[in-house]
Amino acid sequence: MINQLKELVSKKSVSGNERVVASYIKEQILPYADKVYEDALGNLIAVRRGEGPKVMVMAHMDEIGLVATFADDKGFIRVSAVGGVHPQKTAGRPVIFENGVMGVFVAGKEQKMSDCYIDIGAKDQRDALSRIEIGMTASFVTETFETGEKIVSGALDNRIGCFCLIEALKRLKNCSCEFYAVFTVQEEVGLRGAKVSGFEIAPEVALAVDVTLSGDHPEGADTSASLGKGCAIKMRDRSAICSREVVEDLENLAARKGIPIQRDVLSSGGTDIGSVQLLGKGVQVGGLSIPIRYCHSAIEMADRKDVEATIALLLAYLEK
Amino acid sequence: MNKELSYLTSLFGASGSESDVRQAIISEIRPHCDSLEVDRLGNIIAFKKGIEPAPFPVMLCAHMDEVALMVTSIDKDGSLGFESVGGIDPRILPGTHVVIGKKKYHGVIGVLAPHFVKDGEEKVPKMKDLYIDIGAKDQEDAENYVAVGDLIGFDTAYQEFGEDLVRAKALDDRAGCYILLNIMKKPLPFDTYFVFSVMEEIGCLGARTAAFAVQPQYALIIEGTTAGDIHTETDQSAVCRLGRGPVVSFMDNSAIYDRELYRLVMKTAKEENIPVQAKEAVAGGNESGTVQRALGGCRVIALSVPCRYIHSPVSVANLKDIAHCEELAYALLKNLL
Repeated sequence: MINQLKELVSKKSVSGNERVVASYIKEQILPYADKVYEDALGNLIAVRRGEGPKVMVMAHMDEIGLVATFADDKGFIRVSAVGGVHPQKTAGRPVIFENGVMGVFVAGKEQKMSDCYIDIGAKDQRDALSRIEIGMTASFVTETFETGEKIVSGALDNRIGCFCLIEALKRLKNCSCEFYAVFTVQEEVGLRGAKVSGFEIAPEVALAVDVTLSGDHPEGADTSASLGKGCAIKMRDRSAICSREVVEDLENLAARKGIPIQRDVLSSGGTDIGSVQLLGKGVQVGGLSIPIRYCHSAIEMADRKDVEATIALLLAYLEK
Repeated sequence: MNKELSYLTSLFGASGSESDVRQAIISEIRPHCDSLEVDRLGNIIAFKKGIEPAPFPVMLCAHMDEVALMVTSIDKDGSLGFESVGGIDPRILPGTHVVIGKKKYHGVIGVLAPHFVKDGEEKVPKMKDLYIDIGAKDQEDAENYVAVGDLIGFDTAYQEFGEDLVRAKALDDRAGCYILLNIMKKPLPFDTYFVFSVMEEIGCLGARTAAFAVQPQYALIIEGTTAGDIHTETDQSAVCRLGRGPVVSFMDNSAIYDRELYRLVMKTAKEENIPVQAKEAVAGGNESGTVQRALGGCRVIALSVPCRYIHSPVSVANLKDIAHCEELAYALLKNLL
């Protein structure tokens, strides 16, 4: 698990610029799909034929990051957030631009995004712009390691979900549905990729495999989700209320197969299902969530048991 | 003087009431296109064959509408209350000349004289505290000329000034319409759809149905974008500058633009020696987001004409930027496929 996750995380993938991770995932899943293709926005779609309803399972490939908007006289790179970047969680981190140029993300005293900048050690504006271009994205540099039962890394949101979806494709034997595994783009900037992919696929059921906030640590979120208690079955988030039928299906399957589960009730944040539920004549939606600590920091933490439970439950659902 | 741009900006086309602009554009483009349709919302969807057939639909889009005001009440004393149609900052309104309704009655936006403003009171009123004086004696008199729901436009004459500069109302986005008109008159490398859209300023409504009709795989949006290049605190707050060519966005509040198209624009500009500038901020938005995420999605890029004082009675642009924007859009088409 840790090695593949390291590979996934090392491919930088700020929203709108997911090509590198997409081509890596494509390589991984090609032998396990009947058809693999990409759409105009860059969503990566793998199809596994099967008798039964059309089921779309999404995991977003993109991660939060920064984009260079301006280089000032002294060569400091002014930036905008791509997705929910919180300077208080990420200030002082090393960052890497898409062309490999490294720098430090610096926040002002008040930690407002408008005061933040990246220092790439440039002499002046001209020097800075000879090394990076305006519009280039930068990602937080991270380490990926294990400690106890836990996995620690940046961009677990949502490479961990991608990992689960890749594993499900690899391990899936008797597919009982028309299975569309979709690695989506631009989730962190407003569930954008899922919208066009959902339109094109027009599934009957759509599931999101994504992370959720845990409430099990000091100053954790106001949620019951905890690391190590199993796959968190989404009940609702800010983007959608899940279909009861899907929730019950998942809970019954988990009980039958002895897969540990908990519930995910999230009062902030959304997932790709939010932009799919109301497409066309409507789509039944649900979510399999992996609780993580320190979400949207450069160091997030998840539990391997939850990851295994999520893969097992996803497989059970696809093979039911 | 640029007669065509002058004429286009002189027309009044509030969001949802674009018929004057639409008629003018249709009569101009009809001889140059192979088919032309006005959809139920009022978008012009024109199609022109190119030297080659296109392997898939390519769409150019500029919006016809402009920000405006609407009469919401007629007071006992004959003054008019109003709301904005699209984003207008009330700070810029007091003292503005306006024209009201189809017959274009003149009015002026009144405000309490400074003599009457008490210490501590807000000097900049809210929109609901502003009124329009049309010179009526009372409510009954006013009702002879205007009705609730009448649209109110800015009464600004087109004028060229300085070196290549122009001041006019509605440069956002008649400059874009003007560019599309000119491109339509040229020989095209492949079949192309031209959309002159409605209701952009109130949420990009027209682009949505137009994208549904055309189902483009590539879309190029031509817009006006805000330039803060004069009298600003820092270089950074300029966002873009007049005279430095069309503005290309990598990301704004509506979309993250297709990266390959972004690079293609930059490369094309370099090869063709056309000035171009990156929009140095993630701010604002346009129809790109709507078109990008309509149906199964499409690749989108926006080229914008830098305009000062956008969404005000008078904005300022550079005629060379407009010409360069047209040149770049046309060169991009040739490099697109």
